[in-house]
Amino acid sequence: MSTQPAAADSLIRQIGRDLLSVGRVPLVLLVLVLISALGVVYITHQSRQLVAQQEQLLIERDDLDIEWRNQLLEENSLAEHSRIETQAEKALEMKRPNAANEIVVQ
Amino acid sequence: MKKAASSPEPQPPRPSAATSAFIPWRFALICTFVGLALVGLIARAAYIQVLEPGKLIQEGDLRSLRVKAMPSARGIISDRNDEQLAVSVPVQAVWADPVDIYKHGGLSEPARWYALADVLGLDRQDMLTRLEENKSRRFIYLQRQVSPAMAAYVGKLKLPGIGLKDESRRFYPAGEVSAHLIGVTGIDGRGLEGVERTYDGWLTGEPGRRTVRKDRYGRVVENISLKQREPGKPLALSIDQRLQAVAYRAVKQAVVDYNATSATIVMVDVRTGEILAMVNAPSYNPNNRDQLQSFRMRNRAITDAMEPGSTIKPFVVLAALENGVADENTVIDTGNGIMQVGGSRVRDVSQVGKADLARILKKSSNIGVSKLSLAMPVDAVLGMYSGVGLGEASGINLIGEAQGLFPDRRRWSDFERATLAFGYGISVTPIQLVRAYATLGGLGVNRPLSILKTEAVVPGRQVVSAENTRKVLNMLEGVTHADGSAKHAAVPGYRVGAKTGTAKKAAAGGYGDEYVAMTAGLAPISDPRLAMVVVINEPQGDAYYGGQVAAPIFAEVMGSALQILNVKPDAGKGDQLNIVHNRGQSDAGT
Repeated sequence: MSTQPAAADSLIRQIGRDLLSVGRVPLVLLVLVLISALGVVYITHQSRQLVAQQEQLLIERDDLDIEWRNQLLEENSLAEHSRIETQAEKALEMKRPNAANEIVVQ
Repeated sequence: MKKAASSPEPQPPRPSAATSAFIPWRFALICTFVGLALVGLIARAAYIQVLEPGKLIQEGDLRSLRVKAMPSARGIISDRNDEQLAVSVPVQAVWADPVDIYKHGGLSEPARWYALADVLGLDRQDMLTRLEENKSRRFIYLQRQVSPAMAAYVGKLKLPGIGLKDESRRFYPAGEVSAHLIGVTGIDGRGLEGVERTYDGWLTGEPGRRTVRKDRYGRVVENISLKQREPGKPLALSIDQRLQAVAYRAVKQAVVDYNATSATIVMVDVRTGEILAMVNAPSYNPNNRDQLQSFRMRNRAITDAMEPGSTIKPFVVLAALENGVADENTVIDTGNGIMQVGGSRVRDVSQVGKADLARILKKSSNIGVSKLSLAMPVDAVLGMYSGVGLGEASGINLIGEAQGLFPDRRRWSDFERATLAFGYGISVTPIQLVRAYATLGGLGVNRPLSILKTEAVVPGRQVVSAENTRKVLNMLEGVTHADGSAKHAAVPGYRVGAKTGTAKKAAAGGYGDEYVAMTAGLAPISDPRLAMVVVINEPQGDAYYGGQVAAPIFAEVMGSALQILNVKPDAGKGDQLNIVHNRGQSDAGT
């Protein structure tokens, strides 16, 4: 260095200049490392939330499946053939048509 | 303030005081200790992180890793119209760890333990003594297959040493109607009977396992590993639950009316070989384990063989036509109703006199078919029987299927050849008999039967000529006419062919006093669609003939089935039927 640096602030300026000239590549890399580190943190957080959400949905799906199965049973016991037949005959006074009053539509 | 007051005093001797205050060996000592502490910390950190990380990782995993079992439900069994016949529902088992219970104060709060016993439906004192007696054990079941609502209540009681375990329970909405066919599963979810047993591997799924990491609030934050569960595959049966219900009501009524030991109906779709209905009475409720006795649980349609009696006669006539020993114009003299064969006698129930083949079938003449049988080699009759499927597996593949008794020997006496023609000396199961009739209905095409819904029609084997089979079908139709032996099997509006049969049951040392009444038949004769066999086992009282007991049931069930399946009535001429031609949409329906 030919000219004597003035004071402490000139050292800072020098470091700054060095960073922009010789240390440009490491500086860029430093920034990138920071960004990627923050990105990792962010993505990890996001993925954890998604995993938790997926878990919720899985539990919900299993609950719905159980409910569906119970509904099936209920539907089947209500729609049981002989029950329908008794209902039709007793409550609605319906009759099976016999051959005489049967009309074939072709 | 303090600083201001004290500052003037030590101002002059400052350099000398500073030099005297600094003691190098103390400074070095402190530096050494600080350095040592630093080295120690770094060494410890390196040791934990690099050299021996296993233990801490394990400790951490113990607090955050959880393995979750993913139970897989057993496949749903449904009928051909997608009506569910067996559905698995997750339930819970309540278990107790008596050691844990006594570690946490035992049964000191009786009110809560009583509440537990009440909700589980156990006797209060019994449950407490059971826990007391098993003090040293770590696991006993208190109650199995508890509904989720009850399980949630048990969980809220917060009793120490009481836990819940996932289980699955099988429900059968069809109840006793289809119980024999579908079978049941045991408490551990394995099939014990029927379709549940035969297709156990297909219905059973593989439970999955997943390992997850949970955070301190119990939320899953990381999926470590996953073994996908393999859900049980659904099974579509060939049966039609509507026909099944109609048939079951009929057999149940028959058992009561005739005080019979059992009754069975099997119905088959002639065109595909699919079984549409298979019911037995007495039956059991598969949802209730108290009724699981073997006499109720037996699927008699496939396990119980009986001598087919007169129902086998159409096949003798068919064999005679095939072998050319007779044609539809041949007249056979049956004499006065008694025929001497060897040292024994063949009798007819009613005198038939001189009759052609149609009349022999119509009147069910034992002498007539005996003469036909004696006129041809015994292998011709046996060949016909085995050709239509008697004596071999029906193809439905259910567990416990019997194959009856098919005679296989060289030497035959004349009397044995005669009795073979009216269904003695051979025993068949109802399912084999219905397959034989389905072969008749399929105009000589023998198809293996199927209990599963078939996608495409199973190719059959032409065992008899279609021409001769058609002749026998027409003769069979005559049997249900007003002067035939199966007149009660007629269904108004349809051409129905049926043959009744009554066989004495073989007992030790000969034939006993019990009978089996049967009716087997087809409808509609113009284009056979359904084959059906009705068997009433050991009817009591005066009526025991197949034509009196089984034929009315045949007519009732066949009539309902034809109506339910929307089969077009084929009896009578066009003007006798009420036919409306829907000209607006000529392509619809037909």
